[in-house]
Order: sequence, then C-alpha cells, then structure tokens
Amino acid sequence: MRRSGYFKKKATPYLYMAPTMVWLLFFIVYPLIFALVMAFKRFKLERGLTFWDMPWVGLDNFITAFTDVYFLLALSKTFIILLVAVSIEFALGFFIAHLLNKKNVKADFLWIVLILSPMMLPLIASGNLWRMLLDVRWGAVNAVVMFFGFEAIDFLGTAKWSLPAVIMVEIWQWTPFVIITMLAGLRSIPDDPKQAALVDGANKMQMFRHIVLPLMRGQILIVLLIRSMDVFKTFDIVYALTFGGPGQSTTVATFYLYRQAFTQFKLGYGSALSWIIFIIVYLISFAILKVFGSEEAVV
Amino acid sequence: MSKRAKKILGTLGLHILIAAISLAFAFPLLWMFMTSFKTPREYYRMPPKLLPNQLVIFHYKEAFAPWTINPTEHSEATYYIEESAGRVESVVPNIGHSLIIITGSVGLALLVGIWAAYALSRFKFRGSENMGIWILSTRMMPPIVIAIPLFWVMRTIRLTGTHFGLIMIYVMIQLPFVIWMMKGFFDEIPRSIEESVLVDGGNRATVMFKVIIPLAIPGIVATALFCIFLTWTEFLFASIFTNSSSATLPVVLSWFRQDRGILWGQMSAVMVVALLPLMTITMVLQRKMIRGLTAGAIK
Repeated sequence: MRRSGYFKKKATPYLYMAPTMVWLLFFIVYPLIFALVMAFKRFKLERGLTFWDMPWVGLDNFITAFTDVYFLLALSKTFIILLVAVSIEFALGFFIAHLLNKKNVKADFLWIVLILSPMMLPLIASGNLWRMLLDVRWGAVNAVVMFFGFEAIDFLGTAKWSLPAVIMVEIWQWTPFVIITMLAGLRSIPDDPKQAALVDGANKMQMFRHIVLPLMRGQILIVLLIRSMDVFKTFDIVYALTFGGPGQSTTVATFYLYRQAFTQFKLGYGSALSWIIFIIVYLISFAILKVFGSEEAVV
Repeated sequence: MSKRAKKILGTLGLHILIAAISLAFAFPLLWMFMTSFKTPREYYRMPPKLLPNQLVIFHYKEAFAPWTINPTEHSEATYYIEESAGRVESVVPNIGHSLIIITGSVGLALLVGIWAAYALSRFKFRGSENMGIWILSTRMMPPIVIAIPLFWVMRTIRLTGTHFGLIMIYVMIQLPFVIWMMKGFFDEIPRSIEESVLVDGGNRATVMFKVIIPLAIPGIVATALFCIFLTWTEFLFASIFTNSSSATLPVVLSWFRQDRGILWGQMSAVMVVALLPLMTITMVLQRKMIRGLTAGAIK
C-alpha cells in the first residue's frame, strides 16, 4: 500500500507532463531529427515514392548550400536586416519609451494604444498595407516624397529601394514591441537609486550609464534575443510586400528556403538549408546571452 | 522667461513630439481604414486624400456579402478595375475555417498544456527545471525548420489541406506559451488553499477542477486570448498546410498579391476585419500581452 502511494506521488508530475511532452516530441523533436535525415537525401515529391525510395546523397546538400550564391545572398540580406533593423528598433524604441516614461506625460494610455497599433495587424496584412502605401503611382508615401519636390520613388520595383523598404516596414512593425518592453522595464526601476545618484551629483548621462542600463539588463536581453530570433523568421512581410523581388533583392533566408522547399519541392535541400539557419540562430542567441546575459536569465 | 513658462513650454513640446510619434505609428492603419471606404476613383487619386468625398461600403459587401451587390453599384465602384468583375469572392468561408482551427487548437492546447503548467508550478521533480527550460526554448527555433518534415509526414498521412492537420500543428505552436503563461498564473495562487483540500482527503484531480481552475479563470482567459492572437495571424504553416477549401484568413490576405490584382478597397476591407479581433484582444490584455510576447526570455 505504502509503496504504491509513494509511487503515485512520484509519478503524478510526470503524468501531468506526459501529454505535453508527447506532443512536443512528435511535432518538434521528431521533425527536427527527420529534417536532418532528409538533408542527407535527395527528396523528390512524386506520387508513389516513399521515404525509402529517396537516394542518399551524403553531404551533397550541404556542399551545394555553401556554394549556392543565391542562398548566401539571402543569408546576407537577413544579416543586413538583423543589423540595421534591430539596432534602429532598439535605439528608437528605447528613446520613445524614455519619452513616455517622463513624469509630466499626460494621457499616456492613449499614446501607448496608438503606438501599439501596428502590432495588432497580422504580418501578412502589414505587407499588403505597405505595398499600397509605397506604390509608385498612387502610394501615400510617394505623395509625401513628391510634395517635397522629389521624383516619385519606385520603392518596390527597384533593387536599390526594395530592401530599405522591407527594413522600414520591419521597423514600423516591431518598434512598438521594443517600446512596450522597455517601458515596462523603465517603470519597474525603483526611485531610490536615482535619488541617491542625484544627491551624489550624478549628471543625466552618468545616471543612465550606471543606474538605468544595469537595471534594464533583463529587458535589453529580452528585446535583443527575441528580435534577433524573429528576424530569421521574417517571411510574411516579404511575401506580401515584395515576394522576394525585384530579382533577388529582398529574398531573405527563410523566404529562399520556402521557395526551394515548397515551390520547387526540393525537400532534401530545403532541410539542409533549414538546419544551417537553425544552427546560425542558435549561435546568435548563444552569443547574445554570453555578451548581455547574466546567471539568472536563461533560455 | 520665467521658470514656470519654460516648464510649460517643455511639457508642451514633449507632448507634441509624443503625439507626432504616436500618429506616425498609427497613420498607416488609419489610411487602411479610410481606403476600405473609398471608391477606386478616390484611392487612385494622386495626390491622395485621407478623407474621401464619398464614403462607400461597397468593398465590405464585395468581400463579405457579394450576393447583395446590385449590378449598377458594381459598375460604379469598379470604375477603374475591370479584372475584379466576376472575381468577387466572399471571405466568409475563410473566416469560418479560421474560427474552426482557432477553436480546436486553443481548446486542445489549453487541455494539454494546463496540466504541464500545473506540474511545473507545484512539483519539484527530477528534470523539472530542464523540462521547463526545454519547452520554452522551442520558441527559439525558426518554424520553417520543422515545416518541411511536417509537410512530408502530413502529406503521407493525408492530413494536408484538412482543418485537423493544422489544428495539431497550432497546438504545438501554442503549447510553450500556454505552459509559460499558465505557470505564472498558477504561481500566484497560494498553495495553502489546495493543501487544505488535500488534507481533507481530496485528490489532485479535485484540487485541479474545484480549486485551481476556477481561481485561474482570468489567467486562462488571458492565455486563450493570446493563443487566439497567435493563431489568427499565423501565415507560414497556414500557407503550407491548407488548400483552397481550408484556407484561413491570412492565406486569403496573401492572395491579394497576385490572384486578385490590386483590389485595394476590398483588400483594405478584409484587413480591417482581420484587425478588429486583435485590437479587441490587445485592449483587453494590455500588460498580460507583454507577458506572452516575452515568454521564454526570462525565467
């Protein structure tokens, strides 16, 4: 009796965890491993062909990937977005959060709702919306450009402007997330250390450097981590806004991979690419955690 | 200038700056809203006007109830776009698909995830920390990595293009959020309540259904709303795992890219309707929303 009661108590949490673990094992671990296996095969999507009919090709897919100019180009576009968009979002978001945190700001709720509104739009819709706004003939943005006496800019039709357009939409879409996270962080900073610093005669810059920044480390980490990871998921906006074009100018890594796997049906090659992207994302997250992270912040 | 006047001017300047920033973020959405009520003649005007001379609800009819359009109205509103004639399709069935998939997946994710969240909140068992961290870390993974093998598996078992297939995948996407958010809400419920029930001879199931779940209802609602938010906007998996007979709303939005030309009015109308539930959810959730968005970044 006692033994079974003891077992029951020990087993209970595992019992509760079981459905979740089974689900995630089947839908995440198994596909991940399966993708790795697929990456070593040449996969053709034909009726009647099963997994066992696909020939093993060893490292061929990976070798192709690193010599595939278009894939490397797509990766470089992703890195450009990562560097440019995330740093602008970070600086802009921090600045606006700082403005909103000032003591004499009235009706802050109204401003926050307005600022958050881009987050409420499905990503595919914001791609559509900006395709409309950036249109060369009828777009509102070009109306402004022409109002200032410049020639209308073909944002989505020229290789020179398409990537900046994507970056701009990314910034519009995601800065609100940075603002709201930073604002939550700024508001959670206690007054005491600031007061103490003021008494000691610290100026604004010193206060920011030595009090605000260290106390905000958690939020800074969240923002950098989540945004960097999300840049590698950039897909919806590109799909609706430029569809990777003109040419290859806005084909980012995820989009290229999607095209390879789901329009050309190179599933094996796609799997290899996806594992390469997965490893890059992992390394970047690890680097961010190493640089900005602390003991208590994990994952 | 007196100190007081300077202060007032400073406050005023700050508010003008904040208002300008807020409007910059909200303006594209306002534009979309107005476009959905403009006739093509109006939205193809250059320079465009935010407020049109004539407001029409034609595009809403076109997108949601094409059977109510009379021919004269049709020719008036499609003045500039011949290609839209005969291509008018209702998106109501697609909203239906979205709702079926959302209801199914959110319900199932809560049913599966709540137990794991409870286990992680209340029990300390071998591997509990690691399991928790691992579940959260699945968010890091770019979803496209598992999309390819899942496509193969789902195709083999003939679940592509069905509601059920997508529901299972969405449960996988939602589980980490459900578990992380619900664990937080469970942590806030004092243990003393359930301990007294356990002492009185109740078992864990009684505790769960009679004590924990009723107390956590606000948390469950917040979690469900957040999951609805995720599912309503999801495009990548939806575009891979649905076909024309099960396409969700984001997939329909992507069709406005090629198939339907540039029906800006109709597109805007659909996007306004896609935005409304999310806007409501954001208003309801506010702070809890950040909790979901930043899930998995800090312990």
